[in-house]
Amino acid sequence: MSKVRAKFFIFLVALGIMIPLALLGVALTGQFVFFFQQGANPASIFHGNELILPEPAQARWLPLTGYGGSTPSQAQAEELLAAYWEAWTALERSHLTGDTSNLLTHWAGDAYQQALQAVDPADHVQMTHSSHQLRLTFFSDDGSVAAFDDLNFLVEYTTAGSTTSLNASASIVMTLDTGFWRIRSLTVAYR
Amino acid sequence: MKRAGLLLGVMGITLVLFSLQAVWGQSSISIDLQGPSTIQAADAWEAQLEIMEAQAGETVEASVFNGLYRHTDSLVLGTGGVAHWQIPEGVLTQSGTSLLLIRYQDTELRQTLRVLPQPAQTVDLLTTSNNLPAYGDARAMLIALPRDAWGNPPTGDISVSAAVQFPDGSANRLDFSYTSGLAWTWMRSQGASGRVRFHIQVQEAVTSLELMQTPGRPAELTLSISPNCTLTDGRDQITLIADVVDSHGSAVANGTQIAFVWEGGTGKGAAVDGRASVRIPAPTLAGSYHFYAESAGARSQDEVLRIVEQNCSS
Repeated sequence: MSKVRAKFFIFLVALGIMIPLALLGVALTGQFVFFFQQGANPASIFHGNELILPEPAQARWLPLTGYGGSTPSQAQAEELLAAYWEAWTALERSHLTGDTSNLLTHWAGDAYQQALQAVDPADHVQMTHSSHQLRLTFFSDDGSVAAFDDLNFLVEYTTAGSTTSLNASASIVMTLDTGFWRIRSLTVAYR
Repeated sequence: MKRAGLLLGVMGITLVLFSLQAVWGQSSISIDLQGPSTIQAADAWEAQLEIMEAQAGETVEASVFNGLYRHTDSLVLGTGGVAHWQIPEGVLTQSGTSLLLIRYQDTELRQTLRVLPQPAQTVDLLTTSNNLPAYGDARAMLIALPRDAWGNPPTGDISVSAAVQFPDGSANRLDFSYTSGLAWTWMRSQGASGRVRFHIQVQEAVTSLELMQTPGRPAELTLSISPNCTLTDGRDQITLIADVVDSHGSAVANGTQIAFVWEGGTGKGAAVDGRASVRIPAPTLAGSYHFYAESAGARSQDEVLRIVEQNCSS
């Protein structure tokens, strides 16, 4: 065999060895990267509280027109909607469990006292709420105070097998404090 | 035959009438509740309940939904199906429209009760900016949250205004818009820097608030060097002093960073009452040294420090 052929033969053998090794290296690198991507989402440390938007049938904004003050961004409007929904859901949980410890996260000042008074720890009531239609009436320029009306929402109380359904509207003031929107004032008008 | 037919007919009609009466009887229960339709928050309330079809001794569940709170009583009916429903003071504290709910067998009565707030006794006054650039260069919102002793905001179209006093001594009146339990207005800075005082009264609630009107950005810097001549003996220190004013000639805000620059070095100082200074060792080589001060894009004229070998007066 001539030298050229020998060299070519060696080259082919080396190629035949290198290609699988290269593929193996890529696969191992991929596994290495995948391993460190598992578990918690590294970017989630920057997200803070997860935003859980209610379904439109549960709560939604009516078109943002005719309000005073500044215009909220879409993100701000969604945060406010989610926080309002969460406040009602926290009240719902408190009624069911009798545990009011989480109310302070979502209710503040006199509204918190009102929510606290509404819950009887000894009487576990199933309360559900839906159909919140929010009409913005005011939003502050620094994005920390909002006022709106909740039109014709539904609240149901079930106790001892008996359900009471109520339709109501409400006027609400919420304030943003230490990163949380809280209900500060709530005036209910039942129908 | 005729008589039998007639008898059967009468029995049939009787049966039908009896059935109809049984059905009507069930839906013909009437519940009547007579009492005031409006009260003030936390007032006592009472009403007379009458259910003619009810028997004495029967109980009726009576509930009132006031805000988020539900109050329930079991009423015992007396003769003629009458009961007196009393809710003591301090129970119906939430303003708005409460719902009265009476349940007797399968019949339900719903009636509303208007609860009006008491006159506002406290008012929180907030601003969206505690520090506002002066001279009309900026504006902020003022937000008032009045409420009565039970946390209820006033209802209806109330008039809210605040007296405002500016640092230059001028006074003004700001009218608020009121919606959903919150009053708000825009407020624009006026005159030079200093404290702006607000005083607001809503019904029986009174409060005050202050915010600061701050100077503008540095516009003019004046640098001085003390002493402006020293010897080469290396024993002296020099003080660089910068006086900084904004475009209106007012001293800049305390804490404004001032940079002192010379060939081969820099120093920084924070302004207090519009003046910043740094103290540095004097150069030891004879010659003329140029210094200047700068901040936020504004720069002073150069000042010269002379270093001499023997006598500064020469």
